[in-house]
Amino acid sequence: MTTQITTINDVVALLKEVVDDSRVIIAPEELEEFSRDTSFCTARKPDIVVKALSSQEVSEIVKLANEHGIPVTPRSSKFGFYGAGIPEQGGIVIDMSGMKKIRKVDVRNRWVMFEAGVTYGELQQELKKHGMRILNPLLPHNDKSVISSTLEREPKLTSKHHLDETIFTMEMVMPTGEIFHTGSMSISPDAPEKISDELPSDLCNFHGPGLDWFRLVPGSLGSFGIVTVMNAKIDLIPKNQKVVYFGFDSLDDCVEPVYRALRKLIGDECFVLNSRYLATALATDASEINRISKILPNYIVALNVTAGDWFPEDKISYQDEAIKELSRMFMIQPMETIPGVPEVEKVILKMLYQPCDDGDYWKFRAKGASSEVFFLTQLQRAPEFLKAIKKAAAENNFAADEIGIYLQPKQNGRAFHMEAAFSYDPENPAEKKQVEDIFMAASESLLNKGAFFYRLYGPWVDMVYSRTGNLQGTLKRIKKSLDPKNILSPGKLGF
Amino acid sequence: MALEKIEYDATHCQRCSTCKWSHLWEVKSHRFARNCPSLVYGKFDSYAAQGKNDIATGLLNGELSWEENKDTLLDIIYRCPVCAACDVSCKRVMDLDIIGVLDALREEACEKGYGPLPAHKEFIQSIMNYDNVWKQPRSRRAGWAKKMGVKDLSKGDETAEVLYYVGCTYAYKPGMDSVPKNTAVILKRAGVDFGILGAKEICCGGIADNVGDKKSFEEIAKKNLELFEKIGAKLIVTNCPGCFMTFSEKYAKMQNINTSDLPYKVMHSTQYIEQLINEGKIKFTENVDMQVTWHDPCHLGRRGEPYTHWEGKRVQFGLTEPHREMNRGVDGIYEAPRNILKAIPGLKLVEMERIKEYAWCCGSGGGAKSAYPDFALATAKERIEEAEATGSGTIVTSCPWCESNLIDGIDGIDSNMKVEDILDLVMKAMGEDDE
Amino acid sequence: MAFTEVAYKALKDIVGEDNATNDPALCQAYSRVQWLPGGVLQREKCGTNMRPACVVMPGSTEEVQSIIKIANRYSFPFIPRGSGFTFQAFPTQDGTIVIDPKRMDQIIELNEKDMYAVIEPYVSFVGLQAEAMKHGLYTPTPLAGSQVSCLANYSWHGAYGNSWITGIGAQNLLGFELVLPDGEIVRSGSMACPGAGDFWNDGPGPDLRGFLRGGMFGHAGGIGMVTKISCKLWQWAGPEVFPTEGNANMKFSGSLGENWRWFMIKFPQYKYPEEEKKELEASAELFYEMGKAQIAEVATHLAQQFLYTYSSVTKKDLHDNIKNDVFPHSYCVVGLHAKTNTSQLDYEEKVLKAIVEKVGGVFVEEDEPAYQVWIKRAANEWIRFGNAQRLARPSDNFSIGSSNVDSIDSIVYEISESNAIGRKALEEEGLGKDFVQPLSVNGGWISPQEYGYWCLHTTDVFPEQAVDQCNQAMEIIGRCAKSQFERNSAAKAIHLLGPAYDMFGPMVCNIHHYVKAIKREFDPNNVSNPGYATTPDVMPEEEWKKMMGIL
Repeated sequence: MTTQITTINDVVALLKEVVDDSRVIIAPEELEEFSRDTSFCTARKPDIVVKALSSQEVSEIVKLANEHGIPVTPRSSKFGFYGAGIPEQGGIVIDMSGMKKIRKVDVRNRWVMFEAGVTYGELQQELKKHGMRILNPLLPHNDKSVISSTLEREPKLTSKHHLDETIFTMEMVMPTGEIFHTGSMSISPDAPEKISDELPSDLCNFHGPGLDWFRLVPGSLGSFGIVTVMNAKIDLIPKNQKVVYFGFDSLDDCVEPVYRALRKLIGDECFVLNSRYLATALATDASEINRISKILPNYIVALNVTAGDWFPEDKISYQDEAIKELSRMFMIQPMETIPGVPEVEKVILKMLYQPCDDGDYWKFRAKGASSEVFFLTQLQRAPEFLKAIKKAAAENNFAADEIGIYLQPKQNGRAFHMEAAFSYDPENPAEKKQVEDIFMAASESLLNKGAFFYRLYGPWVDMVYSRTGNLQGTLKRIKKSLDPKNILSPGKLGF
Repeated sequence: MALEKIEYDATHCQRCSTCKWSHLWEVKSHRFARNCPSLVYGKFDSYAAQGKNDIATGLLNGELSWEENKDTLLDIIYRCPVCAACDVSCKRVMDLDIIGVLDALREEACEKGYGPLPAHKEFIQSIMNYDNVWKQPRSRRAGWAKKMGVKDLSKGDETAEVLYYVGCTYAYKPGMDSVPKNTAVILKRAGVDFGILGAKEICCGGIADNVGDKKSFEEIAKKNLELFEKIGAKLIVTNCPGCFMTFSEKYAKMQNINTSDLPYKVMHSTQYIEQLINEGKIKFTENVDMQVTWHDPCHLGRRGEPYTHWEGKRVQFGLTEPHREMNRGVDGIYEAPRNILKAIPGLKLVEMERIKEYAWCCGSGGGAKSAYPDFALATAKERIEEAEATGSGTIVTSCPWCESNLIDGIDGIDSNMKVEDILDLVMKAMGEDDE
Repeated sequence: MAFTEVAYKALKDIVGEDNATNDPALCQAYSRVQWLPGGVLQREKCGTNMRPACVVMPGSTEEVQSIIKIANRYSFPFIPRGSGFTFQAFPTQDGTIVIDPKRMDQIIELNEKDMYAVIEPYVSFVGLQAEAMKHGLYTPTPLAGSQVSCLANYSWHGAYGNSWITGIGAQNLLGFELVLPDGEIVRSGSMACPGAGDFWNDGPGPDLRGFLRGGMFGHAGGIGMVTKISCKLWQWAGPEVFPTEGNANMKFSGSLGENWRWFMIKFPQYKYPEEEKKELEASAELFYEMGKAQIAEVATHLAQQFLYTYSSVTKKDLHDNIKNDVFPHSYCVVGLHAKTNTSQLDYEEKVLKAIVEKVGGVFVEEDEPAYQVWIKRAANEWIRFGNAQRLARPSDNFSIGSSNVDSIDSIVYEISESNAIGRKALEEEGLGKDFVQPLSVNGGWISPQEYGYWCLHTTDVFPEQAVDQCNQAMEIIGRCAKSQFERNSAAKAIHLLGPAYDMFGPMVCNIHHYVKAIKREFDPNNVSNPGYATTPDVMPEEEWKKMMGIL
């Protein structure tokens, strides 16, 4: 039976038994920071923010919340983009951004174990010492938590099929507050790194137990459990590499060559950006974006051809041969640099392996803020969806040449993450409204055409689930089974 | 009890379902991947070899009984052409005598008095009464040979190197007498010293054995063996794969000897004609501009291997003592007809997807056509669709039952396919088709 | 309530007279699993309890839904199945119906560009692969044999010859359509989104595959019936038609053309089986290096049992080969596949040679018996899996002795431990002395997954079907499992199925509570394969022990 809490101070007092006083935050101006992010999601203040530093602390907090029926919203990034960390129903936000330990690097089995608050920059720096790297999404924010990004399924630059799903095992706090281990970590309640050191497991089985948590938890926005520690796949830093570019006039022209390149497994990383988006990434400030954008081809396909320790020249050579064949087939010209844009080599190389760590966040470079509409598609349908995006933009008087377009192949090109970015001045209410309207209109139009919105935030939740039959209902029933009191991230996915 | 002989085989079925599919390496499409007509028609797993193994096991351990489950058991057991596609598939991975299980079920049904089915009994009674399955007068058996100047070896005043055995269906069924006529012409042209048994020819009795009536089969077989001995037959050539298999395998099995120990050698007409071609005794001088596909009769193909007698037992690990050489469909008569077709100038042979040891049955064997005409027709239709998929206009075979049932199949789906006996094409290529 | 005539009539009304039966002779074919010692013993104990009360064949998702609703109304258990190969496809209680999906056998879509297919439950791997090969694609190749249901295999477990690339069933499943135990229908992935096509999984929102598959073995049919899936297809640069020569069991498959090369590698410096662990460790090194280099399409360590069984043409041939020591030890088998171009093949061969030298291996020469028998006869099997249940050939019965999923190193350790238990039991107590030896105490199949990022293994035992031998097999298997628990091996996490949840759940993060909560929520009447899925409520010890004795 839930004990009635009379005041927030009652809760604060209980929380201060779990963590240091300094980590229990109720000051309004501090709570304000946790009430919003760069998304259009409605700002909602938590009642309390607790900065947790361990799974045990998270567990205690959630147990307490369960006992008293208090909603809990987890977040592990200092910076939010999609509204995932904004509480829908008040309560407690558990901020794990201070959980910074990189617990273990297993070079042999190619994984790294790290806590919720570890960022891409921190991880890449540590892994570099071992000649390894984590698989990057496209220029993530420097403060982006890797666990957060992974659970949100941010697409990685790699097109390799086996490096798309990267989670091995997880330590997570269940909605009841129990600490739970997934995959082969479940064989012991001990600290995860201790398990791999002392027990006959290298934490490489990610299936089960019972359910495949490595699939159920991502995309759940913390509804099914709070992940505090994870071990995830890493890859070797290539010994040799070069990036090959192809320029195209239109997205339509990209389709067949990209299908072919991926079918032939050319390159390790592959991505497609339009001139606007690539210019935004390359520019050092807003004034450069237009200039660079005009020089670049309308669409740029980048293939990162790499080689490791074994006969690197031969490996590059056979991929070169394949690129020549591709070029002949489609009468396109591969480039190892983009004329007129000398910065491309340095920036792209960095982009492949580093977060955005040089000052401002690249997506905000143009005007201070950006909103993205993204979904999954088959590449052959991307031009159709681009038309819908442009139409929504045009109907709201947004210049077509200011839309950033990004396509990221997943798993050898079986699916593509497609993203349209709209910059705006966050201080300009009219611009903000304009982009908000485009966001909604484009989303609606894309959904009607069959775009697959796989990551659901804010308004997308209702827009998508209203179309998917029994899916939300089924998730709700799973939620009910795991979180009978609906403590974790209530309302985030409509339940 | 017949089932006791195959208890090991039935009870060691792994339920892997390999018996339900064509050779898994040879499957070329989803559409034509299945191999078991009984299962495709009957749908429930009981109709597959796996199911029949379970039926046999159930009867052995008392979970099923003839008394209580008779009707369904008979349906499962007899709605099957005993084409051995299941046997061949299974024996690729295991060493179980699947065809033995199918035979034993039928034998036991007859032992218990439940089988064979009325339609089969009619055939067997007809053999007893008329020496043929068609209730036709003996005197008409050699009607096709009138004025052909063919030796009648039954009279005892002539001998020949080759006994040409015609078979009931080719002898009597309307429209099918072209086959023995063609055979006679071809053999004459090749200078073969051959003769027939004329009106004294007796049904091979294969159908009795097929349906499990071992007693009747033995009675018929003995008569034939006496006749062959009397005329001193050393080489028997026949067009009918059913007869071919009966003389080669079943007669040996009945006597507990190997095929090679029989006092005669038996060849199917395609084997013999291939030999004559290789010896230069048959020459093809005319173009036959057609695209055809060849249908492998089951009793010629995967069931056309010689019989090796075995008496022994299963020992440790299911090995046999003494070692048992099982027929697995390796050495069936697949190439002889193909070589004939390939030798015909102008003829283009396009294979179906399921051929040779993994061919789809026409549906008529094992007494299926007489007892279950709908099933036989459905099975034939499937084969015709497969033939149509080759783009050929003609399906060629060398079996009266296949030919008859495939023609029914063609009518059943209003196909433009034609069915031809291989000897029709041989005659054309020899320039003899006007005779 | 139970399965009654009224319920039976209702089922026939749904599927049609000809598509449902309660005839014992027709149901008999759904009553046994014989290919595991556990199955033999189960049959002994359950008798005709294993014969379903009815077999019903739906022709559509809507019919499946109606059947399941009837099952709920009248409270009788149902078992969904694919081809019915594995042990959870059989009843353990009276009054159970089996849903046979034979009428649902369509390949609904095969998308060459986006490399996926949409299929119904009775589509086999062999048919799907034959179609895919026409388009330069192919499927994973199941050890169960390509005659099994693709959908069921992906929903259940699925281990493949080319797992080095493809992973297991979980990695190949995309979207799906599921009729839940209460009759509700849910779709997952892009299949759930109107107009999106069936090309992908991942959501929307949480990925429902995580709910469907339930760890290594799925829910064993305990969470309803999957009626449609989309699944991955993989690049295939080999011939459009699988090459063969010969007939029947003497049919062999030779070259796969210029885009494929096979290799066998051995470590002759290690005395076998005395130094088996060193051989396994060397094989592990090979795979780790290959994984880092990201080369090859097939990379696997085949123990003698695999080599003998898959290459045999008859049982006698198999046992003769054992006597003649054709495969004196295990071998690593590697297949290189030119998906980019033939220069890639040359490159990978060069790398492979360098790696083999580095790890102290030696290539098997073409004139060696092992090469002649394996490469010439059966290597291509690993691409097509037409040899199905041949693992049963040695003694017409076999069982997995131990299995695990973790790193390659963990697997090597696990194989060594399991074999040590088997050998000890044999030497000291004579357990398994009548099994096919030494196949039952040596070797292990190492199947590295996804370029060696993880790995699975099996060891096997080969008893005959006799009850006493099956009991011995279960004893050995039990000891291996017990050892895994005592050593706190990663294998603990994969043994969860049915009553094992109650037994092992407390040792594995109390997972049984969560899974049972799911079961209670979705299957309130406990009608979806109650014999194998977990029970809705935690069972008292004597009850789960009893069930473990049966299952």
